Amino acid sequence: MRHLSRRGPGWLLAAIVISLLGIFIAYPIGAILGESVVISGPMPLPRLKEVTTAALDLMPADRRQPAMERWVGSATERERLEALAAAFRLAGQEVRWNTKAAYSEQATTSAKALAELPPIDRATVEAEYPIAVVMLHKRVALAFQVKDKVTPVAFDELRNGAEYRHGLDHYLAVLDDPHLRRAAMNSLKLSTTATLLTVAIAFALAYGINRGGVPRPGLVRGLVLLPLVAPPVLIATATLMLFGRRGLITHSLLDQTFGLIDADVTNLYGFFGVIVAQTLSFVPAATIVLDNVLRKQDGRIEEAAAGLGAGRWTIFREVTLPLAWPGIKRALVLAFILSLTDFGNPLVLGRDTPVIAGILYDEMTAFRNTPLAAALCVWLLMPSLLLFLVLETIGRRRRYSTAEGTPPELPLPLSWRITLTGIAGIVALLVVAIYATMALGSVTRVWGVDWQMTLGHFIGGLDAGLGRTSDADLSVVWQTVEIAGIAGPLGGLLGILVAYVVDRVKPPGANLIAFLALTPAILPGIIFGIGYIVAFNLPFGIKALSLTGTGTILVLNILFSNLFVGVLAGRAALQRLDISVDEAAESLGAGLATRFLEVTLPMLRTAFMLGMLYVFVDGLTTLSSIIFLVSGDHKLASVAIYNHATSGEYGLAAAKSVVLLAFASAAMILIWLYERRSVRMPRRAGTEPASVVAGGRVELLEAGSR
Amino acid sequence: MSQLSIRQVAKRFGEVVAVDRVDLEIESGEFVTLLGDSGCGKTTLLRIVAGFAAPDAGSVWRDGENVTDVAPVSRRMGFVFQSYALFPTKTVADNIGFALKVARQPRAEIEKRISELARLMEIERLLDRYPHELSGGQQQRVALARAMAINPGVLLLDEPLSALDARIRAKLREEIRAIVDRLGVTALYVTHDQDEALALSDRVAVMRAGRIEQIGTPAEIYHQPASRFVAAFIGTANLVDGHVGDGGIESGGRLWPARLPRTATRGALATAVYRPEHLSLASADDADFHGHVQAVTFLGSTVRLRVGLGASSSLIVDCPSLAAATSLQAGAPVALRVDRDRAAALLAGAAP
Repeated sequence: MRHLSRRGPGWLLAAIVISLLGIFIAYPIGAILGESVVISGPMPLPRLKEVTTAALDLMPADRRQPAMERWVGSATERERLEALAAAFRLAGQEVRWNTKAAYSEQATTSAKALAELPPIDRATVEAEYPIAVVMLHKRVALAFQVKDKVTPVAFDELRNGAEYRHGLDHYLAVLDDPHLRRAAMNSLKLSTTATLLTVAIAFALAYGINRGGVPRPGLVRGLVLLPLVAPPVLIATATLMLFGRRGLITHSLLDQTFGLIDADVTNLYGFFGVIVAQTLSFVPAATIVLDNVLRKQDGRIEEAAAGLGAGRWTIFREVTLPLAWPGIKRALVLAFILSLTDFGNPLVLGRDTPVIAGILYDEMTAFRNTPLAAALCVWLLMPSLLLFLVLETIGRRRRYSTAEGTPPELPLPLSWRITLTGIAGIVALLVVAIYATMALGSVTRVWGVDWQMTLGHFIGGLDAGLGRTSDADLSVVWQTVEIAGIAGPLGGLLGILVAYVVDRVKPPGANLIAFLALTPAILPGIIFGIGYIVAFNLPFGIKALSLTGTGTILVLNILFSNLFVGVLAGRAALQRLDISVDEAAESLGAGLATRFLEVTLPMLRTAFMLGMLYVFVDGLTTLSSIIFLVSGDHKLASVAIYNHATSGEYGLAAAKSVVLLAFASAAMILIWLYERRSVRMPRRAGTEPASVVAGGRVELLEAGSR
Repeated sequence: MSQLSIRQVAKRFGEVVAVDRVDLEIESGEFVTLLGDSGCGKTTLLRIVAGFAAPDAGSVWRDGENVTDVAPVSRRMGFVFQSYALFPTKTVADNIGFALKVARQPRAEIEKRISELARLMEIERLLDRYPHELSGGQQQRVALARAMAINPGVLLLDEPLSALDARIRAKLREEIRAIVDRLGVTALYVTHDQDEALALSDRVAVMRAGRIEQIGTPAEIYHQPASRFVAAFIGTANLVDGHVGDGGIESGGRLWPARLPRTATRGALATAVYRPEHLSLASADDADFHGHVQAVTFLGSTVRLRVGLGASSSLIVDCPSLAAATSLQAGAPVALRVDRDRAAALLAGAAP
């Protein structure tokens, strides 16, 4: 009894935390897997043929033949034409006449199409024709013929030509459907290129910053990492505004001013533009990973190599690069995941090159085909997982961690410094250009056409004289701030509670709790978002619990997808604090609540702030996880920005981006001031609020994948 | 001609003077230690000698040749880092052979040298392992072997034992000295541990705030400290500040007997240095001081007493671990005598 009263409160807390994480993290992820194997709706032709043939085989042979003849003979003109078209498809032939034309007209065109086929193909089509008639139009009759011989479910399926079952059909669609297959190839091509470019550039940046290759490394790091707190599709939009058909540089400068190019032909729209935008978008995240690795390497090791006679290039090849391998590996996987699951850049910049993530977006928003979307989600994880596993097998036995130390004091050759400074300069310049374009775009009437200044975009585009579009004014921004403002403190609090449970209460399965809280950091946002739709449309089959279209689902999604920051920061703080302090408090008679409030909470304040800030800022800027969750009543600014950008309303997109950025910066500065006033902490590079929040995801992702 | 010579070397980091015009001459085969607290500039000086850091002023000479602007490898000096700085992604053999591989030596030659060094360091069985699979002491040997691969002639060691636990440290300390002697190399060794410095070195340079405060054999450093700082830094000492009196130092209305330097003038500021073993229990008639025992600490071969003299001062006294001393209780009256031949007096502001 004594034991129970001592452990009781802690275990209660643990139970609450476990159920919350189970419901809001594990359940949606599981729901995706469940949804992806749901096959529901009309059967595709091959499946219909399969079912029909099976039923026909059940009929006695002597009755089958006359029935077939009767059914085929009694078909109307419409039924005959539809069956012929189906026979063409079953035979793998293209249907070459207009199936929407009048039946009388189709009768001629279809006969002609059939006659034009080579004899062998014609024979195949004609062989498929009778079964096509039966499966499309005589199924009901057939069903009653075999009713006694099949199960009620099979009877219904046959009669309705529709099915509800479980299978891998949606997964196989990527292999079968030519459109999906092409998109998958595009996705792989795009991701491979963007990933290699991203990691190469990020490595050059991180190396330059940490080995004296660039002047003012602190400034360069800050500039390069800036896009981590960018509103959605900012980079893609700015790329279009600078290099698109009406781009400032392509259209106004090179085309109209100098007449060097034709901006309608030469522009960054398309596959190449997507690669540029993706590379710029993912370089900051990859840079953080590599910066961390290179900054923490013990510089004495490079010095030792130099002392033993190795030249700069040998040191790089033999020491720096191999030691950075774990970072390179993580950066590769990270960039690959980001690129594969990114739909914003391809949809804004490369509509003519379909990719899987874009199709997934269309399937969700336009067709509400959640099962296929869910299967695509899983497909999107596969290559990254495979890449991760392959990379993991390389260099297993070696250890890469070195004593943390200061960078080596070996100067780089001048040519290296020039190259690295050049790369860093171009990236920094592009980043500055992007933010400047956004600022400029927000006060320009019509970008590329009418360069007059206006503040109209901030009050709903009224002044710009454009037609009304949805969410033109800033009210959606205020709503966003409200939702993120609710999610922030809740997320911060829950984060440190989870950390407390894992590291102090230590219930059985504490590791599972920690893993669950980290999962959203590793899973792409788009998947977590779709998981929420699938899971909470009809949670556990109870209509009253449905969260679809509410503000609550937005708060929950933002909160749980970023919870890990508070958890990891909290655990780090707790692990620094000797557990005996807690035990001392307990021996002095403090109960769980007192101990938490008086001893532990003060230690966790920074973690709480960080968790809260991260949830808040991500709530303002995230697009991928919440784009499927918004509704007419509950909208978020990032989705509005995305919609503006895809419909070419750059002014409105830019204006909202400016306001969002102002809120994010204000939050970061406030927290930073507060922290600086109340605790004296050793400052080191990379602890500025911007890079903490931004770097958080990546740095913690690293921790999570370890 | 010294094998290694450091002339007027200076280095500052921003406002902080790390090394302040240091001169040091080291003869061939000598084992010299730079001893000092962290931040005294000893590691910076070592890195300047190695060529990993450039001095703001001054020069480094190797066998009569100015090597200040010469690349580290061309100075023919082996360097052992505090963190060992072994290549984590290379095996022990590849670590040791790295310098030879970089110098494009034939494969067979490299193998031969690796096994030679491995035998010397007794790490033959570890050649296929990775550094993280070794104990601290083993890593230390690999680092030493790697530094010796190119027959450097001069070995620079930056606190090589500080990461090890006390028992291994004492053992490796002896081994390092034995290996250095066997190979006949000159060694410049940095440490903050005075026991290590005294045990290993032919000469010890005590550093403070970027300068060498005193250089000498371990015995000189211990018995004839050149300054109050060295006296306090090395070993245990009772320091009594006062003025030069007749045959000792006058302080607190008392004369503290001590050997006075010849330059001492009466009334000058000076400090008497009593090592605990310079004091002994005496009979009441030839005692210099009378006091009461405040604490008794049994140290094995000796017994350490704290003896209070009046209200404000006390002395630490080491006595042989004999019955007379061990049976003393706190509060017992004792008489102390100073060994006048060994207890020295230091003049304030004396140049090191």
